[in-house]
Amino acid sequence: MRVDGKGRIDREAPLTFRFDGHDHTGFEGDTLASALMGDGVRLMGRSFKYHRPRGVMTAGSEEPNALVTTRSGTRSDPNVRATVQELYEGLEARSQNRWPSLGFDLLGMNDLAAPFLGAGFYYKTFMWPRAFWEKLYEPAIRRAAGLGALSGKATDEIYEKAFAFCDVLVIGGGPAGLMAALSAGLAGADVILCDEDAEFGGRLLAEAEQVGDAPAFDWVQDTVARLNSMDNVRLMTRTTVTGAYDQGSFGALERVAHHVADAAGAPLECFWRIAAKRSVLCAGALERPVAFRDNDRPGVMMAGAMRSYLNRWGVAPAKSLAVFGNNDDAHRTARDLAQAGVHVAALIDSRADAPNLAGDVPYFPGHLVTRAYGRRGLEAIQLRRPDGSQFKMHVQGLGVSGGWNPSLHLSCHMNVRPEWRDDIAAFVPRPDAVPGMRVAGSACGQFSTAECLKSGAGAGQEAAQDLGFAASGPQLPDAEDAPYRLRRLWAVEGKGRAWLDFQNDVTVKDVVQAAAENFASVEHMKRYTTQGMAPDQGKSSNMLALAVLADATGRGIPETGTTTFRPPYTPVAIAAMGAGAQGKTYAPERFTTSHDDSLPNIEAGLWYRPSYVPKAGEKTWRESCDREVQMVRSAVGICDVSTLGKIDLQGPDVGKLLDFVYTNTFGSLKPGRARYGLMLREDGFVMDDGTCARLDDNRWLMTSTTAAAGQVMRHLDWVQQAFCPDLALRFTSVTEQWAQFAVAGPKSRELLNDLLDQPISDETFPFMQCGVVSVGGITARLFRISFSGEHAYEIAVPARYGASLFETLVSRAEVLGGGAYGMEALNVMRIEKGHITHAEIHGATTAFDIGFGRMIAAKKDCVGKAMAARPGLIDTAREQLVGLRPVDAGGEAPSGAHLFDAGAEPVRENDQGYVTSTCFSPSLGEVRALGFLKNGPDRHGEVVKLVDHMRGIETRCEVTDPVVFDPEGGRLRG
Amino acid sequence: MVNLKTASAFQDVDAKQIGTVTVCPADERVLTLIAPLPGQTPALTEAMEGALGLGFPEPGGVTRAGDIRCVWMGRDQAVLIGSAPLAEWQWPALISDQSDGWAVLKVSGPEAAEVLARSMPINVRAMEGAARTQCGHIPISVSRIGPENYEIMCFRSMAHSLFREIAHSAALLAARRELS
Repeated sequence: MRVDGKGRIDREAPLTFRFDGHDHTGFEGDTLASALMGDGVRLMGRSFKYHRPRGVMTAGSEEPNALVTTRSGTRSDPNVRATVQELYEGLEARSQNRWPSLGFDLLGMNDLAAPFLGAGFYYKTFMWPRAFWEKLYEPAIRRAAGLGALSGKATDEIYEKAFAFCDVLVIGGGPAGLMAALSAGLAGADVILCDEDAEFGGRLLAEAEQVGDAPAFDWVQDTVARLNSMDNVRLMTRTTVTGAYDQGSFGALERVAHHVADAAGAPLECFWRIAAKRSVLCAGALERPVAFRDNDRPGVMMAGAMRSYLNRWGVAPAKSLAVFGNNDDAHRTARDLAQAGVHVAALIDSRADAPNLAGDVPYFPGHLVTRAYGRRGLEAIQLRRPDGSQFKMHVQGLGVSGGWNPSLHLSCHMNVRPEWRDDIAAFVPRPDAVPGMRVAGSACGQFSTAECLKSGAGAGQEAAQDLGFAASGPQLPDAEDAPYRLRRLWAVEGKGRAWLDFQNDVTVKDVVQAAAENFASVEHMKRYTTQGMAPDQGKSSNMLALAVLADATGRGIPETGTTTFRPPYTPVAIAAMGAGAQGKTYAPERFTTSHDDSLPNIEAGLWYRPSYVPKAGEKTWRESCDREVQMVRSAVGICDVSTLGKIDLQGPDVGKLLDFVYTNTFGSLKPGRARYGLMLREDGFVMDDGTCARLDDNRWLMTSTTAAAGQVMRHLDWVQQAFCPDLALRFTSVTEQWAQFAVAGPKSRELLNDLLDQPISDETFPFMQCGVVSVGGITARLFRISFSGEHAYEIAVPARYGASLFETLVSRAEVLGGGAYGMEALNVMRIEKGHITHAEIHGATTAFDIGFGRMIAAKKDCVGKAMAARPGLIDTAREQLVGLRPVDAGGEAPSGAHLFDAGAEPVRENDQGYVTSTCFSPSLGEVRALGFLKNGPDRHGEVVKLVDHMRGIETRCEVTDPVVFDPEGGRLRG
Repeated sequence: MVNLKTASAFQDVDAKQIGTVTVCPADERVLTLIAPLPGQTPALTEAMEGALGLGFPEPGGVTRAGDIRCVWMGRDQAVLIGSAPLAEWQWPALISDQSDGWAVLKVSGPEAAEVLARSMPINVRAMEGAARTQCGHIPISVSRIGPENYEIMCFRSMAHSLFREIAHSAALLAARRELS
């Protein structure tokens, strides 16, 4: 119900929203929880395990009960805490974990079976028959116990990531945080102040008190305005710092557009990575409940939250309320309620000697609440007098306070445990628990507003001083400075179930039972009972549970200790963590200058290359591929080969480096000539291959494969820095500077001579020649090299001319009966020629295996030479490169298939080798493959059994030489 | 004689104003990678100062003389931006033309740093000079050329991805500013 004259909601701005299909009205400034409370709704959810009716318990992000699903369809957002969800016009929310409805939930019968469903019940109950666990028990349990669900479909909502850097990160914008930001900011430090609420002020937004000589909220507004006017202070609301990580980095989740109906292109959430030189944790404190029988009835809530609802939102959970606590702070709730005209039926304090600080309310010192009545909403409470006699009192709302726990979670994220303070019966952060982090205000157990202001100012000032800023600190306003007095009370003894963990349905009995079954360590108790394992991570329940455990095991609380606090502090959607990787932003695309989106492109690393270049009427890739191969073999084909790595090496000592990184000799290569080279890794296995050309005395151009371009560059850097730092040379990648095209086929020279400003001939341009040529006045580089086995060239121009040259080459090739060809045709031709790619040099093959053992020059050293000479790497029994030809009609030889002796059983023990590349060779009219076979070179002519166990293919194959097309190489020299 | 036409790394993409930020492909300029031979950095700096009036930059640095800038690009590497007859000078360094290898994108406006902070894991807000980092997953060099002006260089093949990444960040920021 609404309370007149209270709250800072805008009563002139009503908002309509729907909850479980019913229309409700709230006001601008409401949360979903306060609006529902204002409209008289107490029942907001069902509990996880027993499906007990639940109402709102807190007024913040720690809320365990009031979880709802907002929005619908692919945008539906489960497990939203109603206490955090800001109200907007048209908001739609649904309750969760109930069927058929929130008011009548069939699974509520779980509650009747509670005696059988205690801690560890599924470990004991669902053991037999064994197979039933996966098929029956687990699905049934998962259906019955749970939270909201995602839609199961991809969402179109946008998530964002961002990076921020600052001198001082202040976490929490209550009185301590505001002062910390102010003092660090005034000192000149670069400050970020984050708060998870929609506005700054923290607890001051919820209290009726004065700061300075004005209402607390006025002070908040003035201070925020001051901070806003400072260029060196950045203010971030709706931003929860979720984790503290190494070296001053923090994760933070900003809820950007949860408070509007339509994000209109804005991100829903932004995940920040903040690097801070210093941090000040001012996360405040969370109130803890007192466990008593049926203390989870809707209408029972935290006393501090009840005060927040009254003072900030002008609502109360019911007409007649009571407050029950063990500390002075609970009295403030009764006082504020009474002053606002709400009927306070009782203020109950467990301390018999505590004076009444609430004014004119019925006061029951030394009394305990022993039970709550009412299933779907609180109807009455039972009180126990100091003499032990009991009586019932009719109230519809009860505020409970068992004291306050400092929000120290972030201080424990780097594995430091907090320390116990007996005077406040709570854990507080240890100093320097997170390097560079100070803790101020309630987060370190300083609960009065005056203490918060003072410790915040001090922490901000010290953080700035650490970084060399001279800081005098802002003036401290006068503020409430009442002592925080409490006497510990965790659970009221009695029959029935008393709730500790509301979100995971863990009771005092469960913890006691865990202890009795010797799950006595706090970490074991947690896992056995599931206490603290829900999305709220036990924010309200951990302290109580471990106190009950300490009692049950006869140890003290400090000896019992806490469980480990880990990030994130509040739940973070996976979508937020993966932000920036939706759709095309997942990875960059590398396009060649000839890129054509309309072609069937395949990915080669980040590059996109045409798989084939279909002509009108061609229906399958094979039709196009076969045509392209025949086109190259009979006329001329054009292929963009710009993606191969190109490295410009300059300096007098380049030859020495090349001799060291290639197995074969390069130093003697004449300017104007190119040579094929093989590189080994340090362990002696093949790393990459390619050609290297000497452009002039001091300048060379190395090419690598597309796949290993980065690896080769890194390798060269490493070799130079580690082994030959004094050689006079430097190198850099020029892959992107040059667009390079293969011009391959018997008519390649005819095509080029039509294009080049000066014609070439076999004399001026023999095989493996390179040089500078001119195309339309543009300086180009020409290499007579061949991957296809044909008379072929590669021509390179500065990339700006790439698209134009490609178009020219293709159109001229078409006149000659040729055209563009893609990766499939390129692959077929190299298989026909027995040329290796990374399908063969896959990281576990040696130069010996691919038949290049003799390319490791005897007269010089090279990287990997010694290791490649190990006996095991040159054993003839090793699997070595062979060609394969199916002998059965229609036989296939798929990559990945394994080879066996013709008569052997195709099992692992008999494995003789495997297939690496396969194609239909249009040139030979049959399937051809490359593979590795034990002692392969000596087995040419033998028929082996090929078995692809995965595809269910078995074929007999003849072993051949890897080079099956034009083995003499006449075509490429001709 | 064949007439080869030139194409920009950004193809037909024009300058785009998104919110308060302008994302604009830079005019094509001569970019030359310079890497002193081992031990030759002082000699190179002297030669460069004599010829151009600027030295080889310190790590993270940029040197300037008139229209010419020299931007640090990595260990013992820098890119000279602007035309100069480098071939004529026998500098003790690798000299490699990269005019076509790198694409340059200008990002400017009062919220340029905030846009870049969406994509780059470095402190763009406070940076001076130049840095090598990544934008999205794209390896880049970024230099600050004014209080609200940045230049980003990436491999030519990824120019469209870079534009898309930054335009996306800028659009999200602009849409966020429209929220109440």
